[in-house]
This record gives sequence, structure tokens and C-alpha cells, in this order.
Amino acid sequence: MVIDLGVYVPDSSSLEVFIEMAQELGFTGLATPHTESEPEHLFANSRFSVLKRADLTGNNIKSVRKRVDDVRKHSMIVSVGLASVETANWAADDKRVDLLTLNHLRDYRLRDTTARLGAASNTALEIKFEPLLNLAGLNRSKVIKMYRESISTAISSGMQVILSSGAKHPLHMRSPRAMQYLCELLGMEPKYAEHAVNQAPMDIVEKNRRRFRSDYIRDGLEIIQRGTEE
Amino acid sequence: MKRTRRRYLSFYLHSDGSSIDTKQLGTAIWKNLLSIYGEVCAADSKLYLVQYDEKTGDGILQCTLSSLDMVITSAILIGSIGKNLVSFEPKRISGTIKGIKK
Repeated sequence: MVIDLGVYVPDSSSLEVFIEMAQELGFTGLATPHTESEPEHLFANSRFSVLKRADLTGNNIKSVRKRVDDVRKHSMIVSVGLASVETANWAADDKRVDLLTLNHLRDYRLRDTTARLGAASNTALEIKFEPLLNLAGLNRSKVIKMYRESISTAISSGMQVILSSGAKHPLHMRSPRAMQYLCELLGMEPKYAEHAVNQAPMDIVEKNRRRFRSDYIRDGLEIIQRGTEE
Repeated sequence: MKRTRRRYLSFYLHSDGSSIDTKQLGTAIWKNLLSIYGEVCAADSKLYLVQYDEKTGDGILQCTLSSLDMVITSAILIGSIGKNLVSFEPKRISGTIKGIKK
């Protein structure tokens, strides 16, 4: 079970092409912001999952918090863009936020304090490789430097790193094995790279699937068996 | 002189329908290798496109064992060749051409 958590399907009519490509590459699911209102949809005889993802950005904690309140109940994946230190620290510390996403266009780097907060509350750092496909030379070198520094900070603080495609076109997607090579380019050890592509995204989805079950109350508290009224 | 250990990689090139010829693909991988890892690495890689079927997108390339990961990473990072979007998918690695064709 391998899931690409960052796919940007431009409209619902092209979703099928993305699913076809993802299946061809060996994925069993993808997460995208442009999907139906439910957190998870099953396609291809229930063998492929399309998950709803919410991307939030902002420098103001208050506005981001309010938006997290709104989207958490309807989205399988909630991601907050790495922006100001305050917002990043708040997002890393909030258990409702799944991913802290690094934006290559902004000059924000992951700080040690943010990474430690993320490690404590299981918020992962998301790296999208799509910019690396479209850039070349010095510009690509700058993005690789930025990614490598943030990944190094995250790993040394115990924060999980995941790699997603950030694909806006089906041909921007890469197979899970190819993604492992990109992880290694970005400074991850082979074993860590395999975990960052295959297991870590699945762990986040499984955790959130449990949240959406009716028996879930809060982290660590679930209804195991319901009593009968007699 | 010590013999260099070589590896063969089979791959599949996804494209948007337009055909990409062997020369274009070879040049694209070489250019990316040069851009990411530098001239010395590109020279030492002994990269050679053994075969590539423009119709199906299947191909085999050969390089030295020490540069294999760098060659694969460079090929994966090719976003487009000319105006055609492509996606490079590594398949199998073998020490012999016979082994890769099995």
C-alpha cells in the first residue's frame, strides 16, 4: 500500500487520468484537494483510494487555526505551509495537522524548535519533488540545498519526513522506487527513504481513518464494545 | 588497468504520446547527470543507452556500478524532453544484459 499524499488534480474531469497513472506506477492511493466532499473515495473495485486533502497557508495563527477547525472533519490530510515561525510552531504542535509543507518559493526553513514540536506531536515534514522537475541549474541547486537543510534538521530532531510528488500533471508523478532515489538525493539514508515513501504516508492515513470511525472519541480513547440496554 | 564493474538498468519512459528518439533521451539523461553531479561524474559514468523502443517506451541503459544511483536519479529528474512531458520509471538492475532480458 503506497500513497502519494500530494497530487494537485486541476479539475474533477482529469482525476481518472491521474488515477490511471498512479496505478500504473504502483500506488494504491493519492491525496488531492480537488475531490468530492467525503474524506475518502474508493475507485477501481475498491482497490484505489482518493483522499481529500486540505492545504492551509497564512502568517496569522488565528486564521490558520480557524481554518483547521473547519477542514479537519472533512479532510483525510491537513497540511499547513511552512510560513512564519509562530504559525509553523503552532501547526507542528497541533495534533490535528498532519503535514508541515515546505514551499520552495518562500525562503522559510525548518527550525530546530519547530522540528522538535513536530516530532512530539507526530506532524511530518512534507517535501514535494515537482519543482525539481521543472527547474535546472542554479535554481534547482538552490531548491535542493533548501530541501536538504530542512530534511537534515527534521531527521536530527526526530521529525518524520515524507516525500510527495506535488504533481499538477500525471507525468509529474514518479514510481515509489523512483521517489526513493530522490529521497537519497535529498540526504536520506536508503532505509529512511523507503520508510518516507512507503510507510510514513500510510501511517498518517491509517491514523486518520481511525479518527473518522464512529467509535473514535479522541487520541487514545475509542469505544471498543458497546453495551446493550437491558 | 582494473576492469570497471558495469550495471544494466531496464526502464520505461512514460510520455504524452509523442515519440522521443534514442538520441534525445540519451542527451537528456547526460545533460541532467552533468548538471546535478558534474563533469567528472558524467565522464566516469560511461553512460550508454543500449536500446530504446520509441513506440513502447521500454529501454535498457548501461553505466558503471559506482555511478548507477546518480544516473538513475538524473534520469528520474527529467521533467520534459523538448516540449514533451516525460516520466522515467526504473525497472530492473542486472550485471549482465542477459540477466536483464530474462
